[in-house]
Amino acid sequence: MNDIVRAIDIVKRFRSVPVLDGLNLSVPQGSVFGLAGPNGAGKTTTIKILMNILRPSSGHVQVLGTDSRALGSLELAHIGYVSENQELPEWMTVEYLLAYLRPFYPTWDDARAAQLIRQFDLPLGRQLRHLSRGMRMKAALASALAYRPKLLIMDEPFSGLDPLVREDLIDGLIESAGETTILLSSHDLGEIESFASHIGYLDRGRLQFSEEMTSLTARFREVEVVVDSPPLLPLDRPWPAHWLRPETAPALVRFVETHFDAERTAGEIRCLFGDVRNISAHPMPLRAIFVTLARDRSKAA
Amino acid sequence: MHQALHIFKKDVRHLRREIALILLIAFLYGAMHGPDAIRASGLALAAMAAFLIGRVIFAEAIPGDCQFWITRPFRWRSLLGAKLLFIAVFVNLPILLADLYILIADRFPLASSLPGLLWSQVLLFAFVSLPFAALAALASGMVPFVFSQLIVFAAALGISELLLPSIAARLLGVDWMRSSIAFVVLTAISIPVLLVQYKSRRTLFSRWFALGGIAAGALAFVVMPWTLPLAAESYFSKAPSLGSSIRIALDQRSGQLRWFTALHRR
Repeated sequence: MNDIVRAIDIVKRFRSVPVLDGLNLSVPQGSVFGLAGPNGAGKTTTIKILMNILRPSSGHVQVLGTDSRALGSLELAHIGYVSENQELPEWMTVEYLLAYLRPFYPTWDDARAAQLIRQFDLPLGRQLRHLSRGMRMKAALASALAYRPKLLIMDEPFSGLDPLVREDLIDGLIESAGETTILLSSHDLGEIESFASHIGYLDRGRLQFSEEMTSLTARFREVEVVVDSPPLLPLDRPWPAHWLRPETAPALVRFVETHFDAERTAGEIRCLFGDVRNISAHPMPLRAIFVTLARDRSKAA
Repeated sequence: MHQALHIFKKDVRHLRREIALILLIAFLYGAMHGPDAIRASGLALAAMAAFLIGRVIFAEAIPGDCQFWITRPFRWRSLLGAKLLFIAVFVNLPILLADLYILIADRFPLASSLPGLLWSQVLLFAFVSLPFAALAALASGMVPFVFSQLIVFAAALGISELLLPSIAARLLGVDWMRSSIAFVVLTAISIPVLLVQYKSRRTLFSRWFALGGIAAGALAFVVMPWTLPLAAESYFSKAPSLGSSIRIALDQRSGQLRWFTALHRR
């Protein structure tokens, strides 16, 4: 699969403060890539560099095969961008916004635009300044999807929106997924989990990992081990590095396995604790995985 | 061109109230009689022109990273072209029409006055509208834009009135040449600022460039000897010999020459 976005060793400093510190990122074509991470991790900065809104201090970014610093009108005609912080032309009505943007995009699809207006229930005659936050996001998304972009970049699109609006936006995105590669940043992991095909976790200016959702959710398990007697912590042997957040209680050991494989994990448990009464491994939601990783990293730091 | 016209039409729709206002002020400027009324309407027209230039530039503001248009496929030439076309049509053209109305109402000979009138609009566009547009392209909003104007105006006034009495130049009637050179410098700074801002939005670089250019221009303005504008005026004059045919004899014994020299050295 070709990468539609590729960032290599991106460093971005504001004055002398590094916000991105050697970021490497690849977004496969056709994917829905969720860029997750805590506040201040560098998600918005990353996206602004991809869109040539900011220039990296060093490193190299390619978007649609073009150096991000050289992105011009030709490339931007195939890229959609929606951000919670974007200043829309508030004096325009929804109808005029769409009519105004139409000539800028050779691939503008009137039928798709009409469908999005219906789907999002957009009030055509109302000025953007008089729309609710959710409606403004819908209008921005409609104006970005109507030309069937090759790449749609969204920065915290669901932030502060009510669940119904989120569902509407996600429905709109899902319909475009496939023909449009979607890269969206969010700290709202519940939304990403519902439709992202790939996930990247950004923390302290570095991408800590990036992989397919199926692979990520398959390798993370919350493991509970029931033993006959209170477990003796194996002080003479270290815990495997891929076991995170170990907790012990009378007759119970609990940890997060980050490289779960039923046979291998069971073997490692028996090697550490001897015979055990029961081993259970529970799939983890994305939110739990990220909380585990974030706490582990802050502990390590 | 097509995209420039598209953006231009959008700006006309967006700023239709401001356009109506400047047309009204231009009409009053043309229709009013009496020096006070003309001065007041002229000031109002200048203020409205500066405001309208700011408004049209800020419709697609250059500094900042949250503007809607910077992630859309705007061609920079089209955007800049649309803004300049707007300024020409809704700032310079109303002033031209008002001046034309004054000429006709006061029964000046139109045919012989028209070239001068058109030339004055070219100069107004180059020496006033472009610097205002460049200043707006560097400012982050209307308030900083207005304050920047005040600072530039105060600095220009300070340099021309306080630092440099330039009595010698005034006596010789060539002070306008010095001001013209200052305007040329201002335009020469404004053009690259506009090009850089619209092409690559390097606001910090452009601000430093503009500041450096203005400082260098101000320095040149202060240290420029009055003989240079005199020479320039003689060069451009249609009949330079007329100026040289005047002979002023100064009697060294009377002290007049020493007085004059002392003034020149100040």
